[in-house]
Amino acid sequence: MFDKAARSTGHDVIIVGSGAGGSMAAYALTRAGINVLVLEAGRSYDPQAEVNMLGQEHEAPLRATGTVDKPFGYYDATIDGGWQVPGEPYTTAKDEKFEWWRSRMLGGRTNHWGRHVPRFGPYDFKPFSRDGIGMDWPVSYDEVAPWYDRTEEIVGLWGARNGLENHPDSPPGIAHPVPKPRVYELLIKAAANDLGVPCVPSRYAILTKDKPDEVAPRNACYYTSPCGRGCSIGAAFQATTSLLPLAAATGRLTVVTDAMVAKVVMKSKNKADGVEYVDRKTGQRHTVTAKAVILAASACETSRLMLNSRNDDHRNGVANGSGQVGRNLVDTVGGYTGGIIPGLEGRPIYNEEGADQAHLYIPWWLYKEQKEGKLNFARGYHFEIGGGFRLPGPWTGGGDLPRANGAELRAAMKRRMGNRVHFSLRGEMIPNKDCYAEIDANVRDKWGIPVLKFHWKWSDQEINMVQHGLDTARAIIKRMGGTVTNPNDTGETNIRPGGFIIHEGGTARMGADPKTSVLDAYNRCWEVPNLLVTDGAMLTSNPHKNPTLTIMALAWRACDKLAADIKQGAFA
Amino acid sequence: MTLSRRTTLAWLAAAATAIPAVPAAARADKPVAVTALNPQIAWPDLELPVNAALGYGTDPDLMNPTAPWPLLLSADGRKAINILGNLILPPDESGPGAGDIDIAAFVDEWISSPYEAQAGDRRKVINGLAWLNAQAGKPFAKADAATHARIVDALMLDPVPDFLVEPAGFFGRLRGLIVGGYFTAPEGKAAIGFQGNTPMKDYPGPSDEAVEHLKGLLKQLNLPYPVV
Repeated sequence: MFDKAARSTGHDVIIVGSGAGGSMAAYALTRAGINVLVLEAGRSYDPQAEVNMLGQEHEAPLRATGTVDKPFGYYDATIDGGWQVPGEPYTTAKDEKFEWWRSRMLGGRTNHWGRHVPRFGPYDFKPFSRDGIGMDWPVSYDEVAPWYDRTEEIVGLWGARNGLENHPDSPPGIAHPVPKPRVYELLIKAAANDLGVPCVPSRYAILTKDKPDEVAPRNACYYTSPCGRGCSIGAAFQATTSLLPLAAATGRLTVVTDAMVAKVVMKSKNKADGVEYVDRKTGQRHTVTAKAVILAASACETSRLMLNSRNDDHRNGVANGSGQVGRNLVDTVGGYTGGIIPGLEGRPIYNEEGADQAHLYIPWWLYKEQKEGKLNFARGYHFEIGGGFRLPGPWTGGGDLPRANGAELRAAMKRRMGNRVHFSLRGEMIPNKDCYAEIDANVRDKWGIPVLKFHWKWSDQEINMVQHGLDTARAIIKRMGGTVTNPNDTGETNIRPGGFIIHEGGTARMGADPKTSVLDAYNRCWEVPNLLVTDGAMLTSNPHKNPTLTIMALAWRACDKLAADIKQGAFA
Repeated sequence: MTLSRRTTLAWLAAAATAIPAVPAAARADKPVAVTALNPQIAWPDLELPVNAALGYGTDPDLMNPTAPWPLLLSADGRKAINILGNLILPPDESGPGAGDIDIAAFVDEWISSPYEAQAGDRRKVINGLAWLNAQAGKPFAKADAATHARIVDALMLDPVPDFLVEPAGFFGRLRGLIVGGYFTAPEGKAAIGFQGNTPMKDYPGPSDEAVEHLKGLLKQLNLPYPVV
């Protein structure tokens, strides 16, 4: 469907990458009448043909458990990716750790993502004004809100009107109903509320009603398949069942897959001419040109591209006069607490799969305490909660494997099947000087393109936050009469490695000042206005609210502006 | 925190799920039972050949899953595992035994895997099968039921005598594989009563019975039933 030969000229805009930021840019521009060429490093991909929605564990190798080839399990959507991509290494500074998840497929990481889509709130866009740390965005919530509305209409989501501070709800008529909560979610809610912690209906980019469309019809969730496999019925949002087919239907979209972009080619000091890419199948290099170039290759790939595009006019990398490209690298803070709840043992079994993702979640709630300086960390987190009837898998061992055989073993396994709860902390990381990506002068990938070297160090802000999360989750588990499975963890030991939550961002941040930021309020490089960045690299800050919805909303906003400018003759 | 400390913690976490290879006396205050097994039969510690097989790669056909690697277990080895499968999870009214569904086929696929994550299990199972044969004085699969039971009973002791530390480590891991393989097979899912993998138009939420149970639990915990 999308594999067409690239014309070397004739496109108005070249988009590098087809994930959240790239596919939204393609959708927004093509429907505005702009001709677009999308270059995707990975192969073409069709979820309707390739997702094994109902494949069971025993039908796949190793009961579908993760391997180095498929870290999230055999059926996971990710193609040619994972923590390592063969032939495409990255390096990390000595004694530091950063994990970089990539995929090489049409639609990028939208095929596999959590799909939790909170909006950033008014505080989140103005963090410096609120607590004096980091930097304010050059846009406010009120400016972005209409773009959230239209993004949510096309993406589709479930959500409720929770009415919480700094957690904007969708206007009526957009969000689909949230699926009914499950037993363990109701129990967590009861215990959390008793401790003054909120637990409310979640927001996920999953349809619970059909979404008819002539080009890209999508069906309501049918409550069984894990969303990480991708969704052939289109219930769980991914670019390949929505934005990309919709863009293609305009007749103004050309997609070239297996096109690994190596650098931005310049026409003059402040004007991009196009990009040079490597055909991954032949190894040949091609140059394509257009009026504007949008980088949406994922935050780190985008900053790598900019740094690798240095030239006589841009000695530190294209549009990097501020020195901020590759800097301010953030991920989402990750923490984990598990509990065993005796009260949930032996309970009546029912179908508890639901919609795979949490139907309830715990949003951040201590704004007042933070403002009053009562906490030793400045920003918020939320808990994505889990549990339910889970089958014992091949890694069953230790305390999960009773020292008995026969009827006693069968009875114990059945009794314990639904006794676990999980609290996954997702928190805001504040950019710091120790976390950044640069070009490693000594290592190249198999295409000869210099690779990234990562530097990473958590600050006390994040470690204190995780400790607070551990204390909170443990209190909730205790209130449920349960025991904590990781009682000895501390903030320092529990915090996940950098990159692990797969929310990298910040490496070409937006801002109000060209001296301290790379992009202006419309995602345009200050120094090269026809070069835009619409992926997570643009994040001025990375609130605990998962970034994909905001990436898409700002991509649309930026492309709406770009389309208008092109139509008025800009960049001709 | 340094990388080495993180790595160490990861090892500790991994080790916490394994049966510790320390003498029985150090592991428990309970007295060590006398077994009918021959303590002179040492853990074999066989030199395993390099497993040069390839994995399924980073872009396998998800609609037609296959494990492309050759299997390593002998026919007798697989028989032994199915016999053990039926001793660990014998048939009952809830479903067939683990051996009855040929759980050895899964164990063979698992321990023959070319991935590093399964290499430790391969070492345990191949040595363990050799040790079982030595204890039985013939291929374990060809020994009588009394011999099978005697060996399994000894390996299930808590704590085991020192000479059984490594065999019991193998057996504990094999039990994990058999349990995990069984309850992720259709027969095992049915036996444990799992409900799922069923497309439905609307998600009904908890059954009436499940709600009643939750109400009882909340009452016990002195918590109100939450309003969502």
